[in-house]
Amino acid sequence: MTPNLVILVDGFSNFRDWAWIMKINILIISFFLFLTFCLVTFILGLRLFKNFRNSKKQKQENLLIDFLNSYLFDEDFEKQKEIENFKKNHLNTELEIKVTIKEILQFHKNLKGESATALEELFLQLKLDIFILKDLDKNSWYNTARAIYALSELTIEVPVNKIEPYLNDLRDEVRQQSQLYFLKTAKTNPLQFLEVTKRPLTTWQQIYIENALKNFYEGPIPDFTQWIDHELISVVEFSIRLIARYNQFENIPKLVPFLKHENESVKMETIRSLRKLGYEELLSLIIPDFEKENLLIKKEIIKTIEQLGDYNDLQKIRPLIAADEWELKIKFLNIENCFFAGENSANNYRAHA
Amino acid sequence: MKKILVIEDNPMVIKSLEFKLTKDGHEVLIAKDGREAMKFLKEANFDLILTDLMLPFVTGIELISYIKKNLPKTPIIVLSTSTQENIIMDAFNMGVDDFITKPFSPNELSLRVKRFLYKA
Repeated sequence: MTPNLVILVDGFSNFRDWAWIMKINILIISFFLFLTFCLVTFILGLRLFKNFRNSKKQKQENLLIDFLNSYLFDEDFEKQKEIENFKKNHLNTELEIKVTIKEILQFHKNLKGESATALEELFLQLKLDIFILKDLDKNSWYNTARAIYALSELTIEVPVNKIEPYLNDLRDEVRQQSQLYFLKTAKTNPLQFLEVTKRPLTTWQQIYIENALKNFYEGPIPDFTQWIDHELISVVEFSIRLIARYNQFENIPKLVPFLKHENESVKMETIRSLRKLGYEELLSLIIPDFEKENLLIKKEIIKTIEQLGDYNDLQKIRPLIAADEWELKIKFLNIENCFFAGENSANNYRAHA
Repeated sequence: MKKILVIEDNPMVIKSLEFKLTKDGHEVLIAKDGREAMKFLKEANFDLILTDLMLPFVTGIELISYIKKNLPKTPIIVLSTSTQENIIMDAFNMGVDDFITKPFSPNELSLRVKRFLYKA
């Protein structure tokens, strides 16, 4: 034993004679060393587990790319036999099932036509819908949202009562996915789910619904006035917006009363929609109320004059703009200039003609 | 055997295109980004180029202009997620021969590829 080591061992053998402060120090050091060791072991274990999981995931993904491509494009591929074989050998663990669902969804997202239909059939043949339905009942919101997403992407219809409760879920993501599910699986009346909706539509939900209505729904476009008396203001606003988006001119008379709505944002949306629909009497209805409206509505009114009105309409609001409303004044002058420029070019045209 | 250069960065789309086009009897080369594509284009001649517009390093638009300048006779099919009319119009104005939007139908793509390859 080296002399230094002898001193160290001797020192520790007299531990009981040490000052109490030294004993506490040693105990704290030992405790933190142990903690560090546990943490490092945990991190290493986690890393190893992640690597192992990733390699299994990668293996399954590679297997699926070959399987799905052969299933879709290889005419010599014995579909029934290979599906049974895949189900038996490669769909045994939760990870394998999850990767398979993810890959099928990924393929489905990029392909259309016969290939997309074939993938929907494959999904059912592999009985992945059963796993999805089990996932739906799990308590975690992300599992539920993911399950509903898979059902709507592959347009797999399940009993309405399985999805309907999620329309009013606490999480926005779950509500959004269930709304898209009803929309994508609908044959007619794609927004029927609004009738049971009790929570306000977020801006993102409105964007997604509109996008799905435009790009996925293939049935007849509904009459959006069905929801203009909805208890939720967000639904009312959304319906008014869609009336204009889908050029439902026949609904103009039903929109007009909303110009007097007590809610400012509904009133604003109505002005926008009627403007887009080119409603000629709009100016005579909104200009008289200009002075008592808020700044945002005043801006909408000026914009409407710019698009539907003329110089005379603009002059009607000149005395109604307050001295400190600089933003409105600038907007007013810009539009006035545009009207002047328009008139001058018209005069020039007449002179040359 | 006709030689096709596929320029695409989505691994799933790459595998599907490679599988389908090889099954149709073509020789397929894959470039995962614009830079790799430029390298292939300098090294070999292709009968058809199938390209995405959104690519890393060198964009699809830059590639198309390079191909049109240096290999004007090679037909180009664009495979893109873009449905914006101005982007599609820009591509056609640059001399692109066909435009396919994603999600795409592999059978339809295969037919369009054949049409260009055997037109001459």
